[in-house]
Amino acid sequence: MCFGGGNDGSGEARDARLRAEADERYRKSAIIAGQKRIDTNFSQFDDGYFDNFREDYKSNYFPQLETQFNDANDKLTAGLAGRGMLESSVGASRLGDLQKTYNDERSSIGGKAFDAAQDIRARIENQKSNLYSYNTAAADPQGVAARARSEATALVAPQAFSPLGQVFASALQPIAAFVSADRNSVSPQLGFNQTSGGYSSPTSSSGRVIS
Amino acid sequence: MCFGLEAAWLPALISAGLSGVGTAISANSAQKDARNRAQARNAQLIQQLDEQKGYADEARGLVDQRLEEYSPQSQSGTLGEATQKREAALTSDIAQTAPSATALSGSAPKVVESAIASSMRKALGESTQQAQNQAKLGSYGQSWFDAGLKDAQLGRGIDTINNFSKSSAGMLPSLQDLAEQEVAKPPSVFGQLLTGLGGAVGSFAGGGGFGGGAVKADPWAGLRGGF
Repeated sequence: MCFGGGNDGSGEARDARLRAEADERYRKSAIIAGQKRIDTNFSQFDDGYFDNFREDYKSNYFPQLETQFNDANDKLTAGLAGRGMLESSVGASRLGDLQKTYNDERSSIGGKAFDAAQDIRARIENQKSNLYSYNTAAADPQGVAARARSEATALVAPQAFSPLGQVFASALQPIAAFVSADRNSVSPQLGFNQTSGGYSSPTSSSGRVIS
Repeated sequence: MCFGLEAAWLPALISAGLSGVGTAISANSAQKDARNRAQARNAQLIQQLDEQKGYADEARGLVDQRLEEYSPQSQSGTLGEATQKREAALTSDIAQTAPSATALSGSAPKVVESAIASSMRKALGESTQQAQNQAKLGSYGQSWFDAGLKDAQLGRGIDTINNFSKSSAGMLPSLQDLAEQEVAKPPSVFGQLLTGLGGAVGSFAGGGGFGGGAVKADPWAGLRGGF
């Protein structure tokens, strides 16, 4: 109808509504952009990364195991030879048992490498979730990208891995017990027990056979 | 003449007509304004409902996709892959030591070497079987760990959608108010003018107008007949 009253606030209201809608669209696009930056920075932690970690884990423990095996093999060989059992079925069986212990420990280390990789992966996933939360709260993709880089770098801080425990102690225990008993007997059978300075304490793994 | 009695009620008729038309115009204007305001608010509401439905569909899609991965066929495949990966890694770690590595004397009978070789093969076989068993057992935890990673990713997606949904819903009242203000109009001035004019005409006619109208009362009429 004519002579209808005007609305001086109409334009202001429209501008305010459009501004609110635009700001909300920007906030959502900023969140999505931040998430993409997080995903990009964390893409380096792929299957290859964790495969390398497992290999590094095994590379840390396999040499220790190798050293222990060689040492145990030498002692077992010497002990069997001293008892005249090296070239026998009993000796072959003992050597086989030692070999099995060695192989079982290698596969066990491989399994622990999987577990350690899972632990790292879980920590990475937690960091990623934290960054997603920060990103949603801040809606600042530049700031989130900087924090994502710093947290991705902090994740590779070295862990403390304890050295390999004594693996072959049980395998050598019968030999060590025989050697100790022979040394304490009235007439030792083993040549090195017949002279001074034989094995050290059976609980020690640092003794060497001197022929 | 005909203008005596007719002239008495004509202004009243005109006054009523003007007031009636003015009131009708004002009422129509107010109704139209109320309708426009309601339509503006409803438009925002419908837009918000469509947006919320979009969010709900997106979230449901993510959940359905993840639930599909929990199907028996999918779980069986996931477990099988985890087992194969672990078994390949653990069995490859097993070393094969040659029998000649054993320090035998040169005069050792061949049967001894054969016994040692047999013992080593037995050890290798048992270790390989042990590694396969270990891989199979560990694959259960591995597959559920991998499932947890995917669930975490799903959770992040759902959280983002919920954030968007809540912020949009929170803006609805303000957007409705602003949309209403955009279309709001005060009542029609023309209608108010007609109503006011009708009232003025009525007052003018009732007050005697231009010489016609009611006889003025004589305040001394009661005393004119004398005492």
